[in-house]
Amino acid sequence: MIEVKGLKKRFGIKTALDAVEVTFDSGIYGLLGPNGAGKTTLLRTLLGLYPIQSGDVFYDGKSLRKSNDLAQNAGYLPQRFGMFYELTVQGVMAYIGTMKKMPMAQVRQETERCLARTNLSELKDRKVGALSGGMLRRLGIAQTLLGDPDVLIFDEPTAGLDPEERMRFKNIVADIRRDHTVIISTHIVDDVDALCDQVVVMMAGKVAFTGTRQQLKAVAEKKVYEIPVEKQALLSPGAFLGNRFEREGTDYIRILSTVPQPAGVLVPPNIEDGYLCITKGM
Amino acid sequence: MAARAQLLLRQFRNMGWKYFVPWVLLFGLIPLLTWRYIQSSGLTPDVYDYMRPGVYNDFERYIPMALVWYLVLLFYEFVDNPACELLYAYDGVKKTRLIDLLAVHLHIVLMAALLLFGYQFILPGLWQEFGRLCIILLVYSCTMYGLMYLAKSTLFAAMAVVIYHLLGAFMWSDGALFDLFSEMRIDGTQPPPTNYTPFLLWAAILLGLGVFLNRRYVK
Repeated sequence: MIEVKGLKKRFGIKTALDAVEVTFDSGIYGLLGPNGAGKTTLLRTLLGLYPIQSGDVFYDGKSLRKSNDLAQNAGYLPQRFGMFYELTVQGVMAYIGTMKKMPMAQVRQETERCLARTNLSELKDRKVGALSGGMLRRLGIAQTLLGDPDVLIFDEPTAGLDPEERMRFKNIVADIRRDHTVIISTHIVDDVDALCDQVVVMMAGKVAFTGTRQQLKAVAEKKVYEIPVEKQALLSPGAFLGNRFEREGTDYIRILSTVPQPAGVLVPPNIEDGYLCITKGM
Repeated sequence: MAARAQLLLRQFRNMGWKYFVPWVLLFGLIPLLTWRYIQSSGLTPDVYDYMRPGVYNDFERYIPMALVWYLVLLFYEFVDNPACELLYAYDGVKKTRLIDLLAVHLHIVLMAALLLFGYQFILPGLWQEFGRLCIILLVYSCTMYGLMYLAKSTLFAAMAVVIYHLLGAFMWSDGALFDLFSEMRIDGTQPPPTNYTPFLLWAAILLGLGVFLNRRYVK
């Protein structure tokens, strides 16, 4: 279990994390938030890449200020993965396994398991520099699984992946959800909807919401309307315009509004609606 | 220790064909230049005295370049690569990369020693200049380490060192300010050891700066 208590982080005059309080237990957590919300800063602080300036982080009850056991027991996929381009796929896995202080025999065994899990077994002798973007991302996922760490941290894991690769990633994460803490920082609300048990929304360095997907949807309850585009002029002030779509030959627009919109039809909210309500302060 | 050696071996392997460029430079170009000295002297009896300063100057000019080359190749993954934070997270963020620096440094010192050993057969006294060469390599290693982590770029550090090197080893005349090479010409006299003090002080400061920045490095 990871407990973040009153965590603050400043870069000069900019506050990146402002008294963040959040707990990550077993399960899959989606970390949502706009650019600059502090998601990556939070993940990097958990991994010890940024020092704890104020507040504390506890991993299984132990403060990370004393020793960062979390980084030693974590698999981490940064936003951009791609390294050691002249080494082979299994060479990179062996490098990272050695870095994680795994014995050589275990490194070999784990490399085979993780490459098989990410469908890279046939490419184990290929140089990293010869991999496509999707394959490289899979290699990044494979290295996070090395040694079966208790905590898995993915920063924008599906960015740039095609639909098949995204589905493969979701299946891998769904397989390991038991007895693991998985934190996925993402902009893609669909991924959170498909994968995550819990959602944490960050805004301007603060945790603006924590709860289940249902609770996030409930934030937008009775605030979501669909309205034909030609009736857009009838909207009351204060509405936030969302997706535009077509249904049965008519163009509609989905809107969020805290005031009743008689011209629209109230519809059930989804996760994106809940997220937008939080980020727009509705 | 064995694990660290395995990591280092893979880091060198990651250089690919580029690893061999300094070997060509040291064991191809430098002997070729020496051969030109021998040819241009017309094989007079004092040929060895004539070529001795030129050969040493070639060592000074090209061996430090090989050091810079290796440092850029090896440290790229830890300094420039956008994914380098992964390596710091797994390896322990407070760990420095001094072992890697030392490995590259010793590697190039051994290459230089091997070259000098070969030259012993034609220029027996050249060994005496090995210490001077090692000081240049030490100053460059420390400067590269500090500048790489300060600028978060191996290229910037390499450019700064190469520009200095080109000025010092190829253009400045003896006695120029900040010239590491000015007291190292072969003129039969040994420079007083204090001449190197500012350079060694600079090296210590840059090394310290590199270690300080390295312990909290995020690209």
